[in-house]
Amino acid sequence: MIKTTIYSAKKIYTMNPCRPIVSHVAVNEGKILGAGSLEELASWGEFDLDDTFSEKVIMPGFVEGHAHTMEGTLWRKVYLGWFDRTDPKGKTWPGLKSLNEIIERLSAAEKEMSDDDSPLSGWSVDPIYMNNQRISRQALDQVSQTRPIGVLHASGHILNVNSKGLELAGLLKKGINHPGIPIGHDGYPTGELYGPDAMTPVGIHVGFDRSMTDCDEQGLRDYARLCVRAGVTTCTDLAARLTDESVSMMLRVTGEANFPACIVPLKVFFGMTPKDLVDYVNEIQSLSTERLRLGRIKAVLDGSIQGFSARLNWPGYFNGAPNGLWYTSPEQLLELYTLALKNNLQIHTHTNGDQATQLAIETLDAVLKIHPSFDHRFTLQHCQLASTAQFRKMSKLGMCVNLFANHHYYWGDEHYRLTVGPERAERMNACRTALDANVNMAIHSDAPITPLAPLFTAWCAVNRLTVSDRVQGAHERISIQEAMYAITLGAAYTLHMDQEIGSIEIGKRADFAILEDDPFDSEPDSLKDIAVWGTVQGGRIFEADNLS
Amino acid sequence: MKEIPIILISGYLGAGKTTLINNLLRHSNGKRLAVLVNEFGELAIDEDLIEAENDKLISISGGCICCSFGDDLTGALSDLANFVPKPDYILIESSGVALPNQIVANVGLLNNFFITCVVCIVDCSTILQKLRDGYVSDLISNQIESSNLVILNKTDNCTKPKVELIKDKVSNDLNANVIASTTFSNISFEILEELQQTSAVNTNAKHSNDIFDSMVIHPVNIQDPKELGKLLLNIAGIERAKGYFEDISGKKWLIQISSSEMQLSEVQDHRPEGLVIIGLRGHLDTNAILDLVP
Repeated sequence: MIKTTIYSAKKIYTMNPCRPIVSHVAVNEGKILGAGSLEELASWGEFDLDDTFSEKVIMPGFVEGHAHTMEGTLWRKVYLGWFDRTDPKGKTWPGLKSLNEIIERLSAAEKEMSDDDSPLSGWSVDPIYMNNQRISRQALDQVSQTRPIGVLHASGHILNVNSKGLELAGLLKKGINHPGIPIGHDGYPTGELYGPDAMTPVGIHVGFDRSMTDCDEQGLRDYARLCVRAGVTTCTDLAARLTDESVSMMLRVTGEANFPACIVPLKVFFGMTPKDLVDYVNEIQSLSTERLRLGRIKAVLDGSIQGFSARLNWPGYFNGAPNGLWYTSPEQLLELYTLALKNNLQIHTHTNGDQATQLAIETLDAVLKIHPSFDHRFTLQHCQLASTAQFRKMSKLGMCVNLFANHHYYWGDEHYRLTVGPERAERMNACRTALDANVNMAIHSDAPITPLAPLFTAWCAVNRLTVSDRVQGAHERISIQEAMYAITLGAAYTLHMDQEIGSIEIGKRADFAILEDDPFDSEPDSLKDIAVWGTVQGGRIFEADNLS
Repeated sequence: MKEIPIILISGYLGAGKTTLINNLLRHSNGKRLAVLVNEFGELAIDEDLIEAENDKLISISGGCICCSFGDDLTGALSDLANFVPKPDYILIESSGVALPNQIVANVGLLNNFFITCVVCIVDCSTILQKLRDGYVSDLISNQIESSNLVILNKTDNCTKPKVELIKDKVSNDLNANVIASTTFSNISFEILEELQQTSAVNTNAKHSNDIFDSMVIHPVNIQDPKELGKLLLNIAGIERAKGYFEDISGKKWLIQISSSEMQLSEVQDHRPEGLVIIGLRGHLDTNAILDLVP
C-alpha cells in the first residue's frame, strides 16, 4: 500500500448516517480509507496530514444525473444569455439585458475573427426575459452582412440567423411555406427558425451542425473544467450518439492523467433498431474505465412542454395547442424495454408530459411481468408533469426519477401563464411528492440548457422560486438535507453507482466537493451562493481557480 | 435542374410500409426508384432484390437503390439529386411516428424535389383498435388525414362489414378520398401510379366530396379479352381501370379504361398481372366486379 493521506477539514459531511459529520478523511489509492477523527484514521498506519482543506467544508463529490457535455463545445461560441454565467476558464460573462447588448457582444466577437467567411455563432439567448422581443435577420445583419451568423436560444428549440445564413441555405427567397419558418411583411423569412426541422438545414451554415449534441475533444476537456467549478466529480452525458469515433475520443480524453471527472454517457435510442442498439451497448459496456462508464441507454419518448411537443394527458395544453409528438412509439418502447431487461441494461427515459410518463410506467409494468428484475432502477428523466398517482406507481415498480428542478426557476412563470396553467405548473417537478411516494430522486440542470451547478439546482428544489421571485408550488419544496442527498447519493443511485460514489465512507472512490461554506447550516435562500473551491476526484486534487 | 418527384409512404408501425416498398421495387415497371428509409432494420429489403450493399446504400436490380437517412433526410435527398443516373422517383418511407405534413414541409424547403403523393398504409386488422388508443389515435388519424391515398392493407383477415366500416371511418371522419384495398401490401408501382393520378386529378379538381374506392382483380382463363373489356365497361361506377391479364391461350393483354373508353392491346410479357379498378365509392358496383373473377 502506498502512503495514506489524511485530509483535515472544518467539517466533513459524509452522507453516511452512521457517522454523518467527521473532521478527517483518509485517502489511499484514490479511494476512501476511512472517515472519522484523526486518531481513528491514524491507526491505519503511516500517513501524511494534508491541511489544504482545513478551512473548507467537504461533501461527497456532486453527481450530475442529467447534463450534456456539449456545453464544453458551446463555450467556444459567444455566450448571449440573460443571466451571468461562468465559462470553463473561470471568466464570468455578464448577462445581456437587451437586444442592443446582444448585438454589441456579437459585434465585438466578430471583430476578433481573422477570416471573413467562417460563421459566427452565439448561444443561450432567451427573449422571454425581454418581453419576448423577436430577433430578426435584419438585427443580426447589423453585426455582419457578409458572414453567416446564428444564435441559438437557451431552450435549444429556436435558432435566429442573419440574411447571409439564410442565403447560404437557399432560403432567402419568397414563397416558403413551413410551420417552423415565419415570414416577414416583405415575403422573406424573418430569420427565426423553430424546431429541428427548420433549424437543421440552416444550422450547418452558421456553426450548429447536426452532431452538436456531441462534444468534441477540447469540448470534453472544457466541460470537465466546468465540473470542477461546480463541485461535480461524476457527470452524465445524457444523449450521446456514441459512435465508434466518439467512444475512442472519450476513452482517450478521460484517460488523460489530469482529467478531473468521471463521465457517464448514455447512448441515445435513435436511428437504430432496439436489437442493434442493445447489442451495441452490450458490446461497448466492456470498454468502461474508472473515468468513462459505458453501457446505459437513453430513450426519448416526447418533446418539451414549452415547445408544445410534450405528450400531455387530458385536458392538454392550457393555450389549446394540439398534443405533442411521440419520438418513440409505444411498440418500440415495449421492444426496447424488453430487450434491455433481458440483457440487464438500464434505460433512462425522457418524458416531459404526463401522458409520456404514463406510457413509460405502463410499458415497464407489462415488461416486468415477463422479465422480472428486482433492481432495474429504470429512471424517468425530467418527468416534469407527473401526477401523485404516477409517482406512487413508479415507486411500486422500482423506478427512479430525475426531476428538472432548474427548469422551474427559469420557465415556471411561462408554464403558469401559458403552457399548462396554474394547477399543473405548481405540481411540476414535484420533489416533495416523489420523496413522499418513496421514489429515489435526483435533480438536474440539463446543462447547457441551464448552468451545471448542483448547489443552484438544490436551491431551486428547496425554494421553488421562479425568475419573477414567486414561490410556485410551496408544497413541493424539500429540505436542504433532502436536496443534498438528491445531488449526491440520489443521483448515484439512478446510475447504479451508489456502491462506489455519493457518500464519504470506507471503500468508496475519493470524490469530494470542496466548499467554502456549509450548505447544511446556510439559509435556504443562500444555498446557491456557496462558493466551490474545487474537487477531489479519485484522490486527485483539482482547484477550480488553478486548473492546468 | 429538373425536379424529382417524391412519393411519401407513411403509416404506423407494422402497417406494411416495408413490404409495400419491396413490392414496388420488385415491380417497378422499368422506373428507377430510389428509396429512403429511416434505418436499415431487420426487415429492410428482400434479399433476392439486392445486387450489392454497404452501410448506407443498397443497390437493387433494375437500377433502383435504397439508402438509410437516419436523422438527415435533407442530406440524403441532396445526395440522391447528384446520383447518376438520376432516379425517376424517390420513395421516402417515414418512421411510424412521423407526421407526414412535417416531412412535406421539410421537402418544400429544397429546390430539386416535389412531393407528388402522400400514401398512408393502414393495417386493417388493428386500425379500429388503434383509433381508440389514447396514446396514438391522434397520430394515426393525422397520418391518414394528411395523405392523398390510403391503402387499406391486411384486408384478408377482416370481414367485409369490417372493411366497409374502416372505409367509412377513413373517408367520413378522416377525409381520405382515394382508397385502395390490398393484402400483403401487394401493389405494383404501375398500380400506385394509376392511383396517384386519380388522387392528383381529384385534388386539382377540388372534388372534395368525391371519394374514390378501388380494387385489384386478377382475371384468369379469359376466353375473349374483348368480352372482358365490354363487361368491365358496363359495370356501374368505373372511372378508371388499368392492368394486365393473360388469356386462355397464354397471350398477355394490357387493358385501360378512362372516360368510358376502353383500350385493349396485346403485350409481349408483363409481370405482375392484375387489374386496378377505380370508381366513386358508393357508385362502384364491386359485387359485379367480383363476379368477373373466380
